[in-house]
Amino acid sequence: MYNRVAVLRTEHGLSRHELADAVGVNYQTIGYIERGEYSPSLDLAFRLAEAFELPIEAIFSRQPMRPMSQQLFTPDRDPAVGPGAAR
Amino acid sequence: MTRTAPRLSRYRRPDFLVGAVLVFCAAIVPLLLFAVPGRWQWPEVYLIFVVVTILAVRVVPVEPGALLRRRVARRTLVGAIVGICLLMVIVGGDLGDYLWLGILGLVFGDVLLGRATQRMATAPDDRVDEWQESLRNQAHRTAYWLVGVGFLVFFFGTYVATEQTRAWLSQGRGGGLWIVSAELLFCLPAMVIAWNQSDPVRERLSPPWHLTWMRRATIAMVSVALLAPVLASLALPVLPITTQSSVLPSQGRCLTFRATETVGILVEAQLPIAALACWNGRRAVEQFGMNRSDCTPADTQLATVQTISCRRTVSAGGTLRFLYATRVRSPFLPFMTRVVRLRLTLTRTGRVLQFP
Repeated sequence: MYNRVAVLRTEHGLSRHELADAVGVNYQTIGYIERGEYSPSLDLAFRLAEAFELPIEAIFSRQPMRPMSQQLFTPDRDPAVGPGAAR
Repeated sequence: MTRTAPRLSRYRRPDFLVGAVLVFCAAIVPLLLFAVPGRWQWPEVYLIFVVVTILAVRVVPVEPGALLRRRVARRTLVGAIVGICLLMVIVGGDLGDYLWLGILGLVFGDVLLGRATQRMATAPDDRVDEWQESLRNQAHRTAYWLVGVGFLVFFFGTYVATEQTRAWLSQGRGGGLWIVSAELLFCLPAMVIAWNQSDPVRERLSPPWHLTWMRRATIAMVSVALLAPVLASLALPVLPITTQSSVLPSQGRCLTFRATETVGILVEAQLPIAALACWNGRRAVEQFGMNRSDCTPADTQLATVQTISCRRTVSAGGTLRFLYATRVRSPFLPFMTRVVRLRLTLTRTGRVLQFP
């Protein structure tokens, strides 16, 4: 499982403690998710999606995720996520 | 569809509770020392201090950046605990007086292990989040497998193999096999967590000042607890020997000799002599208190003693000589020893040439 939790957390200006408090887990758990050493449950994944106000597929993927900047400027490569999705 | 409420993980005691426990610990030692009547000795003070230190270590939270939370430190700790267990099983009954040192090592190791793993292995469900729960469950599965297979192989292997291994098994049982079994049953999950868990992430947050202070105080207490026996062992050969003695006249031409020699602090031993000797102008003779059965230490604290000489002679000139020599050894540093001698020389005319 791949994710963008670290990027999104930094983008939102949150510390791991703050994000962990927002989703109700230990901040170490956030760290292990960011490092890809732990795959969260569906429940926690949804809570993270709510915290970032993004669809769950924007945060988690079973394929390696491209950098967000690259995805923004070449939207056609990944129809699931990005500005070109679901038109 | 119902939405489950997120389980909040606060696997950390409130700070006020930590402070309260520390204040209680700091208060109970002087209370025990001064409020309880009777003479307190160094080993008792030390044991109370060790208990207080263990309590302090248990309550003060440990940050992820701390040494104990690092994987290399945790694995070293697990290795040390396994080493003590192997020593206790293999050396078995030969450990003798040193067995309790192994037990102390295991207790201390378990406290550190609990601190390193935040006692995740025994945490109830409502105190762990899903990652901690998965780690804990995985550790229990692994520990269950290890204990089951390990015991099966160990007991069948030793009991069935040969008479020699069977005898060794009974020796091991006396020397701590049961202690090691209990250690594995209760602490193996924590050891598995300590071994498996990768290095924690570290946030650059400075902890509040009182937590920093408590952590420093705890480190100081642990250092004192560990260093005190070592320093006491090092001091054993150089500390002065305290002697209390008296020679009192008894009925007729007799003298009563009483003496106690005390050596060491914390690692200490007291050697007594209480004897009666008489003379008749031709020779001095022992009435009681100078026999092999009298050459025993009065009291030993965290030390082992070995009698190396217990000899009574009467020379051709009628002089009575008695020598009681013993070697006091530290169990912490067995090569640190001190020989203590008690001497008594009484002439046939009743003159005390040497005592003690």
